[in-house]
Amino acid sequence: MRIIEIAPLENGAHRNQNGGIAVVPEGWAVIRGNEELENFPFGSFEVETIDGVSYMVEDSWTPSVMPEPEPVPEPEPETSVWDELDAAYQEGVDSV
Amino acid sequence: MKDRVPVNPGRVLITPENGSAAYYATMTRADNPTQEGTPLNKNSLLKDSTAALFGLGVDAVPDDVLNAIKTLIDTANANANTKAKIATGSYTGTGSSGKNNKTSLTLDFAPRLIIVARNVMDTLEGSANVRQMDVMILHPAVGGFSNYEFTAGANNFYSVGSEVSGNTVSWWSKYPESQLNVSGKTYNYVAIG
Repeated sequence: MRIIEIAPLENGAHRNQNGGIAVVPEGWAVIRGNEELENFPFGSFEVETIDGVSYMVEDSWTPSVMPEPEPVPEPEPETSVWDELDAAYQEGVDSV
Repeated sequence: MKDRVPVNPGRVLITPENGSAAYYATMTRADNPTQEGTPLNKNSLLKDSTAALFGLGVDAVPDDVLNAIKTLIDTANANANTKAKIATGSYTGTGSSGKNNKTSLTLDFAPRLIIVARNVMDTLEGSANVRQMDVMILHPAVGGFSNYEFTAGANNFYSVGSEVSGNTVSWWSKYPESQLNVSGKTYNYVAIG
């Protein structure tokens, strides 16, 4: 089952999940069918409730602009906890 | 189960309701069937050999077998509930990260281990051949780590925080990449509970 959180995140995307669940969580809606949704999960949609279960209304998906990814961050410093451990071992300490 | 064994097959006793004397008659079906159909007898309803499969004797009737099946189903379910559960699926990244923008999965059981990975391997920046596999391993109640290479040769592990509420596990990390939540990217997961 493919589900989507009804309320969007701050950036306009909707958290989503495909599979692994039989009961629709509160605040989520079922996406019927397997068609690809443009710019998913950035967009808006209408919701209908049938027998207590929320569904995305078919053909109601309105894509929004998918934001560009944030600039790639600088690589982390080369020194890692393993380097520190290695140095500690070489110094002969018993614990770190 | 036992078949009826008549001395006089088809013989019936007719007792008229008007008080006349009762008399015997022999009933014979005369409906000209286009198909004889399956006879209702021990052979078609419950053979001794079948009853024995359920630990039942030759006097068992079909209802005894149905009762035994129900008991077996209940036992199998009880055993299954004590075994490990597994769920698989996917999600599409929302591009957000951090504790205020958690990624979450809701399952039919409380997961004890979750492994998430991209559904494809991207070529690393700065390398024509090296491909990276974004992976996160998460103990939902404790946290976990993810592996992401922003550039070739800069292979980093990032800590991932997590929390559990019922059957829902949520996690967060510093970057969308390390949270395995890049916009529009598909991630596959395996959850074990």
